[in-house]
Amino acid sequence: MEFKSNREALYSGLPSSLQSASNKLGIKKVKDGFLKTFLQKTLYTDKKKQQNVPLEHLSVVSEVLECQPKKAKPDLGPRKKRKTLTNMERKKLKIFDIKKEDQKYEKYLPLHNLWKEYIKDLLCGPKDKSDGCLNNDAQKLLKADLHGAILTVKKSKCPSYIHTTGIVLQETRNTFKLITKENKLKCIPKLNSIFAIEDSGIIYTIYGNHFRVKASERAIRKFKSKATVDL
Amino acid sequence: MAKKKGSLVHKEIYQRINFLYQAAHQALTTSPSDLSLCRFYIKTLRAITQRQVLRLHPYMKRSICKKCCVLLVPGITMSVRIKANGEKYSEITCLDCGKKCKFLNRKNYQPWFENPEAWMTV
Ligand SMILES: [Zn+2]
Repeated sequence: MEFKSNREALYSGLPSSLQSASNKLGIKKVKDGFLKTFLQKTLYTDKKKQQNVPLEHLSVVSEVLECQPKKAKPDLGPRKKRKTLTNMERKKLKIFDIKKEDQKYEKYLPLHNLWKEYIKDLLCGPKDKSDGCLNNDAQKLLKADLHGAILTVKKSKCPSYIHTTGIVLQETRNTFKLITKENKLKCIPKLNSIFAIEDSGIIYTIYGNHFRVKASERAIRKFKSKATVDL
Repeated sequence: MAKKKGSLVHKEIYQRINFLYQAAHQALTTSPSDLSLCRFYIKTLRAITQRQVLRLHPYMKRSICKKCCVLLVPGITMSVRIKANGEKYSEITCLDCGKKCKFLNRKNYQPWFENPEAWMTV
């Protein structure tokens, strides 16, 4: 009897006295789906056991193992000391590729909210809209981070890209990766297109042709003011 | 998070680092099965600090995997174990690539960055 009550206590929710004080204790609700993916990733699966070779095969396997000549380890030279991955290895492992299935626009809204706060901190705000301030803002925006911004393609040489709107997920040297409201992942080249970013009523235009720098290197690079060139 | 604002010259870059760190954290919590975005943000963060020759706060630096650029959160992407091989140490393992890192647990030892003298006030 006691055992049963223990079990019930295990799966029941928190007592109401605790729930009412959850704000004070700092208890937060876990996002939907977090637990499921977490368990999927961490729970031990029986796959390894199933793949194990039955006992009668063991003698054959051991014979095969003994017959194999010992290979000398290839001499890697100074590369052996390296503790990080090289760029080539990174590309091979496809570390940075976003999984295409199960992408949702709503999932990335918090990222956009974070970006909004960041930009609000960075720029001087809508209080004064003098020309000098706007110029300053534009210069700052050139060096700011665009991950999480809502980007619209204004003009492009390829007509199918025009009017796509989405949240920037990745920015590489030559492309933007956007997620659109239709939950599609789109890769848009910077070359020959013009983008627009809206922030607190002001629309900034980005010329893709002059923007073809790595996202990390943009912080340092000095931009020359060029006359605007049409596509 | 970047507490040490050496000078106001780098303020924008510190803001960017702060934003990227938070974005990586959010990417990890929204989709723990897909680490690509988290990795990408941390990678850009590190690229910026390397280009600018800035130093991250040691706590921030220790929460990033050296090898695969994943944000290390205990239980989700890393495991912490106390081991003893003569001297006690805590071993941190990245669950994604298996990179291990050791930190000695020495009594009466205080790292330099925990020393209040090490901090500059601006
Ligand atoms: Zn790792």
